[in-house]
Amino acid sequence: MKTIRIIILFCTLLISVACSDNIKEKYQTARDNTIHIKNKVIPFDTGDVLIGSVARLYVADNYLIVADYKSLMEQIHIFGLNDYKHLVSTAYKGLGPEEITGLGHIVYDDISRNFYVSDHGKQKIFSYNIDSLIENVGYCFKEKVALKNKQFPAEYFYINDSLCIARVIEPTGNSGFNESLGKWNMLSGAIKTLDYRHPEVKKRRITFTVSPEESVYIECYLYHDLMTICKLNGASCLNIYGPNWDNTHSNKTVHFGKVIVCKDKIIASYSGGRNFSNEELPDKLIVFKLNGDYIKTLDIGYRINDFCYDSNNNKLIFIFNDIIQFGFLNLQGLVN
Amino acid sequence: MKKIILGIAVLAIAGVVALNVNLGTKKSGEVSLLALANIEALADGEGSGCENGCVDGGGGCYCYIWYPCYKEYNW
Repeated sequence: MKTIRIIILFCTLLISVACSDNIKEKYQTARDNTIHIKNKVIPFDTGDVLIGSVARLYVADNYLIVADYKSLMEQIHIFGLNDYKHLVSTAYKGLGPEEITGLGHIVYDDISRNFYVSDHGKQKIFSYNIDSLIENVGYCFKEKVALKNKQFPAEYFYINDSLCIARVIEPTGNSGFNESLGKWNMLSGAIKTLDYRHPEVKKRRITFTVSPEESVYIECYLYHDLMTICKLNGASCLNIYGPNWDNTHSNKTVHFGKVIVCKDKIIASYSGGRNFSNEELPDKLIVFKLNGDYIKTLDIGYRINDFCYDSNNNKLIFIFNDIIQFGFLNLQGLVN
Repeated sequence: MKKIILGIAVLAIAGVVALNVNLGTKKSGEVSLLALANIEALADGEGSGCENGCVDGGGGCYCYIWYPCYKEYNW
């Protein structure tokens, strides 16, 4: 009996030591190095192409892809990345065989030069070859893979056909869902969820990105002032708590928006405003080192719908919900 | 007279219900065209049926299918 007690005590000690080594924490009580850069945002327009209020931006080689989720016609528009000149539009909304029913996430594979479009109406991912699409007006997409209904990727970071890091959605009924991050094999459909979950966050709603070079993924919480950086192999995680952190179970305040990695920096959009109000969209970018250390806050001055990183020109490209719709920001001397 | 009107009303309601059931019938794992059309309306906030109340703007909401640019209203 005594031996069993000693074994249990030893195991408890071992687990607690192991946990304390794996999960580290940083508290940032002030993020007050704010630079106002509204005048450095250079607006541009999309010519005759009208884009709705709900849109997302993606970079594919020398092209800017604009996904217009409210469009009743073409939902995907391709522009030149250097001059923002419109090249082609595709992905008609509809239920037909050459149409996209429920436009979802888009990723670009620079080896095959295909971009993949999720259709959550048909529960499939379709593949477009970007060169063929631009050259051939009548180009039609091909089916890449089918998505499962019980567990599917909402967004994913594409590394290759057999390894993507995905925000995985598991519906809990007709409405309601749980979300987690996982390694997703696009070809086989197999999903292996990544283990770490913050113990104080009951309902997880996140955005994420991946740095393959550093072998880390970064999660930002929509309704908590919390960012987590974890090793892709699950060896360790670092929680970074901002000045507005609390563990309240609420969606009243919006904290983080999108997060990306630009060279050796993490850039995350941040709101801090009330949800379901004019303040809900982020109007700031917070810049961190890859180890989570806070560097500065860039006050953009416009409400950001979405943004993406143009690594060719070291720019951020924005779509706003504000007096200007599109703009870009040169990061040279500002971040990198 | 009242009984006749009541009878016609009952028959009409039964007919509409039967038609809806028939149109809404779907194979396992597929969403019917009628359901898809209804879902659009639900997610646009024009109706009810999704407990979480998907509304415009956000990182995604589930209401029969996944809407990447909606968010949950109820928490």
